[in-house]
Amino acid sequence: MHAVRRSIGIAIATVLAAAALSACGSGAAPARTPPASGDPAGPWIAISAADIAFNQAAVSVASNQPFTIVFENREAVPHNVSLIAGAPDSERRFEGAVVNGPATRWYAVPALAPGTYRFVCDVHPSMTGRLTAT
Amino acid sequence: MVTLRPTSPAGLLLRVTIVVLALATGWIHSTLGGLLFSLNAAGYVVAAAAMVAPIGLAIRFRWFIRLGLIVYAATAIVGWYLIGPRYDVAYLAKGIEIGLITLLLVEVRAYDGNPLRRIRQALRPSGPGAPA
Repeated sequence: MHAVRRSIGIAIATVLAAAALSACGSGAAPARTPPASGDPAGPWIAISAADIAFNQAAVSVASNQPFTIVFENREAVPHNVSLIAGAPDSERRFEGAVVNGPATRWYAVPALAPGTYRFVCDVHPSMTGRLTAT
Repeated sequence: MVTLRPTSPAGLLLRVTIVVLALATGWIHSTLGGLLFSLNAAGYVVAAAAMVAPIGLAIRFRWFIRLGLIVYAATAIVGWYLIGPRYDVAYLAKGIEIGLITLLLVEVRAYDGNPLRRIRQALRPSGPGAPA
């Protein structure tokens, strides 16, 4: 009986530890809540999500300079925007923090080399679009 | 072997906690949208119901339901580790699933003994399939 109680205690402690760990963040680039009005300083693009899909199939930015993604999640389902380089390396170049529920967040993205990138939602990998840095 | 009975207070608390954890992670997955998450949520709801259903077949094969739910939750954790997003809700869901597996292992140890021996018994033509 003691063993059972100890196991239950361990399980509860595990859940609490996981919850505490989650409060430490996910390692993704933090998202800033935009001010009530105004645009980001510097170049920016807008991407939005609704019905488990991005509303933009393709966007373009200037290469070799940082920019901001103004990401609007229009539904209760969590989404984010991550950038993955095209072939041949296919490496992740940016990971935006997940936005839980309807909200708008700004992602500060570092400069990208010229080329074509995929933007994806990490929660729903079927959500993809193309970003071109020219 | 731990002396624990399904109808004892500790046994009931254990079973209720398992069901609550299964429903909790199922609910989290149901809020994520998309077919895969919805199916995952449905799987947890069905498993939670099977853990308490007073149906002869469910009672007889409760040991198998326990093992199935352990494998199901472990698969969800591995799948998330391989391709899932790292963020607060995901960590919470995985924490719940780890807790769920832990409590299911407590039940397996208390009621079923060695899972491999139980499977071998069930595969025999006259397998007992004793209720738990």
